[in-house]
Amino acid sequence: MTTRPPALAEWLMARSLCRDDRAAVLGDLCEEFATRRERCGIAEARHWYWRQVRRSLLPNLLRRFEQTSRPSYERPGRLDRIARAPDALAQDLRYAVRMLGKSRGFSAIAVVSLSIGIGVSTVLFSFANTLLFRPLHAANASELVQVFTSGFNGPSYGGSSYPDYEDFRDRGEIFSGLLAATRAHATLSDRDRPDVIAGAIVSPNYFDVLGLRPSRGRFFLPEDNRPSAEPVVVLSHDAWQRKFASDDSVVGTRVGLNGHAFTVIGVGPPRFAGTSLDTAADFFVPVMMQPIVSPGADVLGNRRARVFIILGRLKANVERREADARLRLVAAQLLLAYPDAWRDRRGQGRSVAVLPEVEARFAGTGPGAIAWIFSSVIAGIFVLLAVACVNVATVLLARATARRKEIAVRLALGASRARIVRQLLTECALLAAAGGVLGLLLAQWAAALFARFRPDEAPPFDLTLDYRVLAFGVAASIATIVLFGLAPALQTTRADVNAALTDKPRAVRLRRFRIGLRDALVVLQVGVSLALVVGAVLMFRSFQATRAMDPGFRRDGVLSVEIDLSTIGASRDAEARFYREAVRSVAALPSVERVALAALVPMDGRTRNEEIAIDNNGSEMLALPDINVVGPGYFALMDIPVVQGREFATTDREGAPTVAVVNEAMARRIGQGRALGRTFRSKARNVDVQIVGVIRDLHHRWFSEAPRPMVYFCADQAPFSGMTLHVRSAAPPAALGASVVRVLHDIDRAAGLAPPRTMAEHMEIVTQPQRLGGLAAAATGLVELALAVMALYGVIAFAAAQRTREIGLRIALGAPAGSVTRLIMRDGLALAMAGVALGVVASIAAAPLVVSDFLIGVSSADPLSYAAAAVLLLAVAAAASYVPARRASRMDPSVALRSD
Amino acid sequence: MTYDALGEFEQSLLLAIVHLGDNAYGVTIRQEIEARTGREIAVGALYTSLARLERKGYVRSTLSDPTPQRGGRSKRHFTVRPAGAAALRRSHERLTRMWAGLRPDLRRTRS
Repeated sequence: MTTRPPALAEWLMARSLCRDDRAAVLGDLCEEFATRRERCGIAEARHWYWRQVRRSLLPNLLRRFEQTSRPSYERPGRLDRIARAPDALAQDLRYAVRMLGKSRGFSAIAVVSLSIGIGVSTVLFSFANTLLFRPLHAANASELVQVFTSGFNGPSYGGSSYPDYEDFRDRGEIFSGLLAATRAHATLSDRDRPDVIAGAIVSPNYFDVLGLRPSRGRFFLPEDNRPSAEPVVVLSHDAWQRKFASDDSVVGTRVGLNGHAFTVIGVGPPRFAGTSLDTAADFFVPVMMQPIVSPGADVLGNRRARVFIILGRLKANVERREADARLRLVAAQLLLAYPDAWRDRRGQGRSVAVLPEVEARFAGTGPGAIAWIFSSVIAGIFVLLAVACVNVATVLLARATARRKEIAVRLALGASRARIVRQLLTECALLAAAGGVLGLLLAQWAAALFARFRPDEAPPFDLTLDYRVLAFGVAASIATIVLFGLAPALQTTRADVNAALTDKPRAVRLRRFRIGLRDALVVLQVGVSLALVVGAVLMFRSFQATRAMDPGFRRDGVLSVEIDLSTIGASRDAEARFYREAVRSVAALPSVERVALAALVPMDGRTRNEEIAIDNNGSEMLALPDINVVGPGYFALMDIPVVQGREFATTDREGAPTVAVVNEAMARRIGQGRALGRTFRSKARNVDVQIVGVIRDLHHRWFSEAPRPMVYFCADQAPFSGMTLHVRSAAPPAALGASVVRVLHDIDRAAGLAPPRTMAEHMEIVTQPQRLGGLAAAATGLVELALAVMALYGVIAFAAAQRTREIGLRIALGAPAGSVTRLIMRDGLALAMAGVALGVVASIAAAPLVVSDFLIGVSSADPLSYAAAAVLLLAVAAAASYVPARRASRMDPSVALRSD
Repeated sequence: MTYDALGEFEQSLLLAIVHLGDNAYGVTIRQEIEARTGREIAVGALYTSLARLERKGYVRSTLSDPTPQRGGRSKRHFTVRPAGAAALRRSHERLTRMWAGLRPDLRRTRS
């Protein structure tokens, strides 16, 4: 293994060391890095290296300084000057440090703004980038392509069925390898506590196409995929560590999946967690085991079951366009052979598309939750960097006007212009370097923090800092600094030395110009800050609104337990008996008010669809609504209002007429609201179903989505082997969990039960992406707010401090201190108000374009947000002008008059 | 003649070099001090202090040949010069005198 120390850290170290020590120190670090890598692993070694760099930078720089700063007293000749260029640099550096140290507030604002801008944007981008664009864990992942079949009613990028996959693979003649995979859940049975784990059902060539090697044991062979083969499973490395305590002897043993014994034949490579980006797969089984893993659904032979994702590699000489054409041909053949399955709603043949895997991630679902987060992150980064640069620019500009006199003195004493420009540039470089280094450290620290809070079910990934963004941030800040630090400097050095020194008549004009520029800066800064603060407040209120939003059903006082009976392998009748018994005995528990079953819990990300046919004035109308299967009393338990008809009753059992309840969206779709009493035909079950009730729409999939047509079937008439038991109780539901589990296990010990959770917990979990996105937005907003407030304070305080001499004059002429303070504050506030007015106008105009897409439940012209932002900024402006005004008004006038 | 007194860290460095004999260079010196005192030392601080000791004439350093294990970089070996040994002895003597009459728990020894 030849892993080297982190390059950036090594570079930083090398730059900071003096030449004498460089080789020895870097060699030492390199050697010890290697030892530590052997002993504690690469991550630990890297961490150690960075810690060394962090702690060594300051002593190294001090030492370098010490060495280069020997004073020289004679005026050097030309050759000497060249030889002593480093000395001059050191002198500039020392002078720059002194100057920056003199105005600490200014330097702090510039450095902190830069470091926050650079650091936070680097972390944010790296985080989003790692989440979204990280390559799949596969050999040559960039070669992978994904194949899609278009859906029944529109979406072009849908899943494919297994028989179709086989046809693509065999008839396409364009793939060097093609795999199919679909998600599955299974109960890891035969342990003390059955455990539901996520996994994937995969074609046997899955790992070969990905080009992976097992870390233990072997992967699938063709013979593992025969119908008569012994069930085998490959565990993910992560699951092997978590569930099997990294036990090497697990290969060859049997584990229970859904009550069937599977032989573990191998363990995947470290960090490989399947090909799904949002869920980590713990196990992999060949497709022939599908009936065992997810019983009840005939997936392998059914061309309509488009649940597989298909990934593959094109043959070396095949272009994308050629692949598209070839697959169009296959699609046409399939339409001829299977007209039912290959025709979409408009009666046309379905299409097949092939996309590079990374592109494909965004093709299927359109802008989903992740894309939403990402776009807000990118927007946040740009705003952050822009704010940081504006901050630096304004303080630099404000300061440049104040340094005219000092520079004039130096020119008068014989300094060359080049020398002064170099001096100013050195100051700028020092600021940029300090900001950059601090930003990098901040980024590192934040990355470590992020890594610690990875939720369990998220796929494992390394958060590596993206140095391109870091470089971009540093470049942007250097450009800003040079532009704004040097432009006024050049202007100043060109000015008339005499006028600047004496502040005589010519200076009047200059002075007015100076004040004009400074005032404009304050107004601009307040305006920009207001827009940012409004944005942050809006984001935060939107984030809060998401929390409080009414999903259309009850969140509190409800406990749910997911039951999976496929572990028992019982008959339909036995399952129905179990559920009847479960409802009866849980209802008998003390403090339980209502008990009901449902196949799907709203918003947990799982949906089912079923094709139905409705008689529409003689012609048959097809629809593909979302469905759920719920037991009697479910709507009452969940507080979902039944607006027409009735909900399911115990009389809706097998043998009685099949009934359904629909939501308002479905009712609107099928009969302009007159849905009650009508019948439709369930294609899958092949029965006529009567609609007996209509319920109020609720958010079934997602908050931000309009309600979708939904049909509820009665659990007693359409049983599922996996149902979730809902319990509403007078007592706090969390306390009830243990007794519910005990009662259910009393009925059957082998039943697979997920840990009970309250509906409130469930909502916390399912709204996590939104909450994380909102939180990220709010956090970015807060950072921006801090930056804006800092710069605003800096500029106003600086402007007020510049009037020290004027204040001294007023006091010398007899003005009372209080009235002078008021005067300064009035001027400061007047500027701030002008800025607020500007900001309000600008943000009302810009908000609908910029943020309204990200807002849920808050209008982009929300008056409260604007009022809060305006009050906050005026308060900052008042404080910023009060402090220096008070200080100046208390000064001895003779001192104040002499200040520059 | 007055000598400036050695700081605690300087003493640790010199003593570590004495302990290590022929094998005293950056890595081993740091490990020696860490192992004996449990204190983690930044490499930058180490070399800054060693340079100071070298300037005072207490240690001498020599560069050895580069090795691949160190990324092709040479090692800097340190040895204690007589002046350094004398300074160490003086420090020890001073401390011993100050401790004389006290037990490690700072009670007076009975005399």
